Amino acid sequence: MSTAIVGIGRTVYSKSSGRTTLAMAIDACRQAIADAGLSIGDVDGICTYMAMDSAQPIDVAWGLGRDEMSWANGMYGGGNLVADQIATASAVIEAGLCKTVLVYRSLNGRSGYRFGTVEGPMQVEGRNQYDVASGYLVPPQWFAMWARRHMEVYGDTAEDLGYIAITQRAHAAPNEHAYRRAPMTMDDYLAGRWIAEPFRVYDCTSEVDGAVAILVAGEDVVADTNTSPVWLVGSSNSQSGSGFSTWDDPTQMYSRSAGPRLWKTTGLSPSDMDVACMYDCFTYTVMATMEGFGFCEPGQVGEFFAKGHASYGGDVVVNPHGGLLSEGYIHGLNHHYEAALQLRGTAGVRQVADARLALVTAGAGPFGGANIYSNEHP
Amino acid sequence: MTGTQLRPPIPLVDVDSAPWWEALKAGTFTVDRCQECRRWAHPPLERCRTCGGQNTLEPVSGQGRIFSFIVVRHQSLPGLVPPYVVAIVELDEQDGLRVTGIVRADPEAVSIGGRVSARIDPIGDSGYSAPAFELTPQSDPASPTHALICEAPEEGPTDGGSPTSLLGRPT
Ligand SMILES: [Zn+2]
Repeated sequence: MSTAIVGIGRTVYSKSSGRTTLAMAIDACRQAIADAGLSIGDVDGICTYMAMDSAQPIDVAWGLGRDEMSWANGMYGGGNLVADQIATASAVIEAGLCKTVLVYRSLNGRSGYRFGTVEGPMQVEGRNQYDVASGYLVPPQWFAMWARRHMEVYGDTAEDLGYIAITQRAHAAPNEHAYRRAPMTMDDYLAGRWIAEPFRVYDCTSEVDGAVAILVAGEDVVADTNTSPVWLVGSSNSQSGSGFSTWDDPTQMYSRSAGPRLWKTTGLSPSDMDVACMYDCFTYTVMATMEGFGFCEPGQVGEFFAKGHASYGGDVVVNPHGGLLSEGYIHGLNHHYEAALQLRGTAGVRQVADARLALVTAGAGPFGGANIYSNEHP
Repeated sequence: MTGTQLRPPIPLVDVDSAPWWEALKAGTFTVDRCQECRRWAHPPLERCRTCGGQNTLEPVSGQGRIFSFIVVRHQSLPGLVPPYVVAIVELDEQDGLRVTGIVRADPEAVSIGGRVSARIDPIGDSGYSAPAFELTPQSDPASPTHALICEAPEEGPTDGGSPTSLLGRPT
């Protein structure tokens, strides 16, 4: 049985929500259900991914007014699980465990807990404990380390990363939901303060507070909904526990295997994609995964963006909403929201003409995955 | 900021990591090594992920090459004041055997492929110590000579000539 995204919902993305993650999750889920023209009684599955920073699925379901769910699952992890979670929801429906699944992500990513804001020395567990002395504990540093390696091997310049940031910011300009919309030039990019060389501030995602919900339904329910279904036509993952220091080749990410497998299993190719919502916790993530998913040869991504191939009128529109870099960091679930808007043809002024197929990637570094969506029944 | 806020993070020691931290306190930089297949691995783990054999910490030379590095310029953690260099270092003991640490050198003097040697520095006043690195040969961290990075890399005694360790470039 095929499955589709039938409803989407979200809160505003802000610097400080003043709300609990529970309240925001319920809000976004309620909107997704209403968007589909369904009621909570039609929803019998719910899941999320988190790192102990968000509301539990059963609590969200309770808040939505549903006493019991047939399936409720919280996965521990980050953006690497987003695509997989929607694919898992689809598989759970296909397996007959439930008929519809709400996938949500709710976080106070900006106003909530941050490193260095707690009293006393922070205690670091697991493999990260070995990096306490260098303070090598935060993602901008891990990915800057990877980017440096890529720049060394392929000769990318700061501008090559800059074109990614600038292109996405330009895409965000007409997006009223985007957190950062002000135009950015290359000079602006280069003048951005250093975070961890080779990353400037504009290489890094815009952390925000907010929530997104996606309602996935089986074919039997799709007919009862009042939106154009956005069908899931393929999914693949590569999830590694190598960590950020031991992964053999940081010039490549999980996409080196998830990418080729996705094209092989779907029979599609990068050139078939009209839209690519590339997970972009950092500019370098876009660079490495554009290569991994086969849009560019290694070392060519900067030029691809510079020449407009990643924008309207080019080969594929990358992150038409502005991505995590400019729309905001809802841990990648907002990419799936955008893909649904684009494939429904309801993206307004940023609509990609005749968008039929969208790639949505999730995750970065050693772990991640991707889904392909279509507005045509598979 | 208060004194407590200035303290750097400390490890939440577990059974796998305790001997590693204890060895450092005693002044020895060790890495796990399988007693069956003799492969090195970091971070420590009870059993070898290659063959399942028993891992035991053994001292390492602390000699290696910079695999990649960053210059931290934005303070995200207490107790560490930017700018400073953090590197992934590939130790000479085995291809791909990587550890991370601060490189106590002028950022301008640091480059991928550059040779480094480990030293052991205390982590603030926490009682813990951890490996850090200096450019090899020994240089004064306050006034590194740029000539250092122009020299042809020295061959380490057990350098396996990893194709990814030097990228064919002189440092
Ligand atoms: Zn072994």
